[in-house]
Amino acid sequence: MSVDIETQASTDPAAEDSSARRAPAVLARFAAPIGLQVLAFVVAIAVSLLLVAALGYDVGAVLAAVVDGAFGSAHAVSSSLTQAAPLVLTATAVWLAYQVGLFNVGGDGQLQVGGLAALVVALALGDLPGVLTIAVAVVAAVLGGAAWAAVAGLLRAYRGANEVISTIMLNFVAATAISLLIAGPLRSPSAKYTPRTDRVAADAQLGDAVPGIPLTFLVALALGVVTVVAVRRTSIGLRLRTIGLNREAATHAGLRVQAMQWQAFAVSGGLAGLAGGLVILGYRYYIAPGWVPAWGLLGIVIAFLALESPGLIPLWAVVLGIIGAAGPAIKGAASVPDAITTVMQGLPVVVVFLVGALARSGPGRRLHAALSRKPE
Amino acid sequence: MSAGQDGLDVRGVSKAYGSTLANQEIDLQVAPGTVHVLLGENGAGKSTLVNLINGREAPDAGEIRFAGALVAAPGHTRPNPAIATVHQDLALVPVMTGLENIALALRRRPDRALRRAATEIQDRLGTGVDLDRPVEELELPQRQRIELVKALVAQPRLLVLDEPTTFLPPAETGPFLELVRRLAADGLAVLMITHRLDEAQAVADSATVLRHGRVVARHAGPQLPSNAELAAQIVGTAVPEPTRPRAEFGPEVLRLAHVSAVESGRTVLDDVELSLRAGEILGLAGVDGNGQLELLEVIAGLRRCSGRIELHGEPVQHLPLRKRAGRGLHYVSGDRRRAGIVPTLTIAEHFEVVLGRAPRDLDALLRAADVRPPDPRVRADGLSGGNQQKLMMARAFQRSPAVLLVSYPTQGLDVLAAAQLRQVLIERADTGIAIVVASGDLDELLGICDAVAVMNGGRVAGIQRRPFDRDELSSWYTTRQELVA
Amino acid sequence: MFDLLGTAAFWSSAITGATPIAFAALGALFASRSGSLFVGVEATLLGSAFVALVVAVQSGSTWLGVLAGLLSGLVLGLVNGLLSMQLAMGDVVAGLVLQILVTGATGLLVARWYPNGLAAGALQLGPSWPSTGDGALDVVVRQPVLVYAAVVVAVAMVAFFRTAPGLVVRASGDSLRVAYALRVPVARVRYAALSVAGAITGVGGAFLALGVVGVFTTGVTSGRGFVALACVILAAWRPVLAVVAALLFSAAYTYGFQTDDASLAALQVLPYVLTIVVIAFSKAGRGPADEGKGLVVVGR
Repeated sequence: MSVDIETQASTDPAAEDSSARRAPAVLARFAAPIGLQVLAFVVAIAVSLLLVAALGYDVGAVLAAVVDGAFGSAHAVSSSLTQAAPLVLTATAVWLAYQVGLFNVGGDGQLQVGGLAALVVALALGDLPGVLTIAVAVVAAVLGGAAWAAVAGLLRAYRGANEVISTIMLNFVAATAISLLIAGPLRSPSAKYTPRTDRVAADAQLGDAVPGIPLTFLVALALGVVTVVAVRRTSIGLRLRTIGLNREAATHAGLRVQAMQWQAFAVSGGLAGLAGGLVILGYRYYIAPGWVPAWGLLGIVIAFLALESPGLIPLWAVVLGIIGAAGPAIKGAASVPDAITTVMQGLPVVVVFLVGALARSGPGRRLHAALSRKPE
Repeated sequence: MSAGQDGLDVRGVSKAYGSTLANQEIDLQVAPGTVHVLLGENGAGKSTLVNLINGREAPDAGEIRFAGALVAAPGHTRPNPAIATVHQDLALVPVMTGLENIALALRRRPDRALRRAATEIQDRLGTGVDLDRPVEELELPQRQRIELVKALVAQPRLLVLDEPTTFLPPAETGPFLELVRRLAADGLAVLMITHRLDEAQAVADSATVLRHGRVVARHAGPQLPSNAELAAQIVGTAVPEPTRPRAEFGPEVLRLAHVSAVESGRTVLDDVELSLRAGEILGLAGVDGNGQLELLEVIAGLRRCSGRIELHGEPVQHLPLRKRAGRGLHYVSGDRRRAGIVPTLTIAEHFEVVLGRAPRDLDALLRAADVRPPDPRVRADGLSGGNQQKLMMARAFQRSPAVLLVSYPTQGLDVLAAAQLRQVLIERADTGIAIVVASGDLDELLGICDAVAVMNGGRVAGIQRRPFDRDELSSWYTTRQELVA
Repeated sequence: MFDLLGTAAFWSSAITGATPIAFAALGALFASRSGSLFVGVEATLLGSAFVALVVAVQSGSTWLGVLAGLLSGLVLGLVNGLLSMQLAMGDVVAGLVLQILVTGATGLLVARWYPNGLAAGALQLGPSWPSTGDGALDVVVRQPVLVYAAVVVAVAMVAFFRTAPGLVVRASGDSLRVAYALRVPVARVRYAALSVAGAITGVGGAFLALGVVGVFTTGVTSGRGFVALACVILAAWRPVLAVVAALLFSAAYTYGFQTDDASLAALQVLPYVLTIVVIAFSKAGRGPADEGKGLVVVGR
C-alpha cells in the first residue's frame, strides 16, 4: 500500500489541525452527491434489516412500526420532528466548527448546559407571561452553550489545547454537574424515587406550530439554514472557510485567525445550547437522568455525512430522528430491542466513507477514470 | 581512475521533475580514502543527486554504483547499506535522546553495546555530545554530531555530507574539517556538498562543480583552482542583459535599523540595515536559509524582531500583519501552496477574502494580469503554478501597495511564466511601488533589480547597485563573514 | 471527608474499579505513542466486555471469557484503524462511529440473547489470595489477578519503548517527517499499535464485565474509555503514571458514589478539569507531536 501522508510542521502550537481536518476532506474529492447519500441510507437500512432477520425477528413488523411510528399520525410526525430538532442544531454546530478547522465533540455537554440554563430561567421567571419566559430562556440556552464551548475554543485558539479532548472532558463535567444539581439544589419536591427537576410552566412550553410540525423543529431548521447560508454566502463566512482550508494562507492574508476561531467555536456551542433549550421547552419540560440520548454524537455523524452538502443536514436529521423516534414502536410492535435504531443510525456514515475508500482504491480509480471519459 | 571499481561511480545520470531538469548527464567518481567536494548553488541539482545516491529515487537515465554494486538505475533502486548520509535537515526525532535516535536509525536497541560503539566513535571524532539528552535540548552543532555518529556507527564505506558546516560556529569548522580528512585517511570515501569555498579548499582531494543540473567543471587534487575561479564556475560568467531601464526613484518608503531576530536560540537575522525608495527594486540574494525569507517575514509582520522598521517614516515593528497591510505593506509568498492559495476557493473568492468583496472589474483585471483562464469563477486549483502566482500578484497589486515584499516568486515556474512575472515586477516598480524580492537565482535578480543585497548568516554581507560586479557578489555568497583562523 | 478515605472498603473498590480504566488507559497510551488518537477506546471497552461475558457464560470458563475479551478488543482496535485510515474518517470520527455501532450492536444482541439479563454470577473473578487478616494488606492482596496484571502490562510497556520496535513505534508518533525519512512504514505501525491497544483494552473490558460490574448493560462502560484518554494525558504518556491516574479517577468516582456529602461529591469532576488544565498550560500535556495527524491510506 502506498501511504499518502499530509502533515504540517509548524512552530505555532495553535496551528496543529485536529485529525478531523484532513481525512474526511479526502472524501470530498470523490464528493458525496445525493445519489450516494440515498444509497447509503438504503444500504444501511438493508443491512440493519438483515441483522434483524438474522436474529429471528419479523422484518415486516419492524418496517411497519417504523413507518407507522414516523408517519402514522400527526402525533407520530410531530414526535419524529421533535427528535430531529436537536439533531439539526447539533449537526450544524459541528459543521460550523469544522469550517474553521476545529472539531466540536462537545455537543452533548453544550446542549445540556443550554438546556439547564433554559430550565433554570424558565422556572425562575415562571410568573411572567409565557412568551417572555420562553424568549429569555432561549437566550439563556444559547449563551450557556456558547460559554461552555468558548472555554474549549479559547484554549485551543490561544494555547493550542486539543479541542477534542477538552470538549470531551467538558461533556463529563457538564453531565456530572447536572446530575448532582438535579439530585440536590434543583431537585423537585415531588420527585420521590428518581431525582428530577420541576417542570416548566405550561405557558412556557412549546408545542406544534401546525399540527404535526413542532415549533422547535421550525426554529432549528431556520437557524440551520441561516448558519449554512451565512458561512457559504457571506464575506465573513468566506473568511471562516479560508481559515479552515488553509490556516497559513489565512494568516498571510491578514485574517485574525485566533479570534475568529474561538468565536466561531462559541457560536457553534450556542447552536448546541439552543438545541438543549428547545428540548427543555418543547419536549422534556424538565431534567431527569438520561434526558439526552446522544444527540451530540449523532450530530457529529450527520455533520460528516453532509459535510460537503450541508443542505442535507435537515434531511439526515429527520431520517435519524424518525429512526430514533421509532424505537419504542419497534419495541412494542415487533418486540425488537430499540438498540437496532442505534445501529441503523450509525451505518449510513460507514457506507458513505466506504464508497469513498473504494473510489480511492486501484480498481475504483480506474472505474472513476473510465466513467469520467464519457463525453459531456 | 580506479574509483569506478571501489568507490562511488556515477555515470550519465539524469533526472527530471516534470519539466525541470534537475540532473543532466552527471558523471562523478569518489575513490575510497579521498574527499570529493560537490559545489553548486541552490537549485544546481545537488540534493537531487544525493537522493539518487541514497537510492531513494531512481534516475531517468544513467547508473550509480558503489564498489561495483548497483545502487540506482532507471526504474530501479537498491539503497546500499554501505552508504551513509548526514542530511542538512537532520533526521532526528526531537524528543528522543541521541542514543535513541542512533538506535532508531539502525533499528537496534539503545543498549550498552550500541552505547559503546557510539562512544568509541565519539572518541575517535573527538566529540563528546551527551547521548542521553533529548536532541531538542542540544545546540544545532551538537545535533549534527549525533547525526554524524549515527552515520558512522553503521560503518559505512561512503559518507555523504550535505552542507555539514551550516550549523557550526566558526571555531568548530576547522576541527570538523580535520575530522573529515581523518575519516578519509581511515579509508572512507567522502562526498561533501558545500558552497563554502574556503572549506572546500581545505579538504578536497577532488571537486565537481554543478550548475543548473550539469557538471560545468571537474577538478582533481591536490590543489583546487582559486576561489575566484571556483566562484565564477558556480555562479556562471554570463552577464545578463539589463532588462531594467534606468529608473527614477521617489522618497524613502521603507527603512530597517538594527533589525535582528532569533529562532529556537539561533540568530536568524543579525543587525540588518536597509533603505528602500519608492520605485526601487531591491533583491535579496544568497544561499537559501541565510535569512532572506526571515527578513521578509519580519518586515511583513509574520515574525517577531528587535529593532526598527519604518514605513513612510512611521515605526511599524509593533503592528500586526493586517495593520501593516492597511498602510500599504504587502507580502506575497512564493510558497503558494502553503501560504497563498486555497485550492478549493475560486479566484473571485481569493480577492473577496482580503478585500471584503471581489472587485467589480475582476474579469478585466485578470485579463490585464494575464491570468489564464481569466474567469473569476474558476477554482484556484484549476490554475497552473504560474497563473496562481500571477493571481497572488494581481491581488496584492489590487490593494495599491506602497511596498511589496515577494519571496521566491518564480519558484517552480516554467521559463516563460518566470519571465512574465519578472516583467510584471518591473512594470509595477515603474509606477512607484517599492519592491523587495528574495530569490535563489542570482541571474534573475541581476536582471530586474536596482540593488542587490547578499545575505549570509543572517547578515547583509554586502549591497551593490548597478552596474553589478559578479565576482564581488559571488564572493559574498561563498565565504563566511567571520574568518576561519 | 477523610473517614471514608480511611476504610478498606473504599480503597478495595477504588482499586478494583480502577483496573478497567487502567487497561484502557494503557491501550490508549500505546496507540497514542504510535500517533493514533484512540477515540474508539470506549467502544472497544464496551464490545470486549460484552464478548467476554457472553463467552464466559456460554463456555462456563471465566478465563476463556477474558481471552475472548482480549481478542475482540484486538479486532475492534483494528477496525478503528481501518475506519480511520482506510476509510479516511480520521481518528475522531472513526472512534465515535465505532461507538455508535458497538453500542447498538451489543444492545441489540444482549436484548435478543439474554432478555433476562447477562450476568457473570459465579463466574465472576475473585480474589487472588486468601485473607491475610490485616485489613490494609487485604485491600491489595485480595484483588483479582488481573489487577496486578495491569501493573505488569504498564511495566512491560515501559520496557518495550526502549526496544528497537518500541523506538519505531515512538517515531511514528513523535515525528512523521523523520519516520518517513528513516523509511518507517508508519501506517503499518499504527495498525499494529491499534491492534495491541485494542487487545489490552479488551482485557480491561473483560475485567469490567467479569470482575467489577458482573453484568452487562448498555451503559456499563459509562465513559470509562474517555476517562482513560484523560489518564493518558494526566500521566504525560507514561505507562506507570497512567495506572496511577486511573486510580485517581476511580477514587474520585468511588468517593462521589459512596459519600453522602453532596458538595464533596462534586470533586468527581476534578480529574476532568485537571486534564483540561494540563493540555492547556502544561508542557507535559503536549503528547507525541504527530499524534492525531490523520493518515489516509491510498490503495494501489
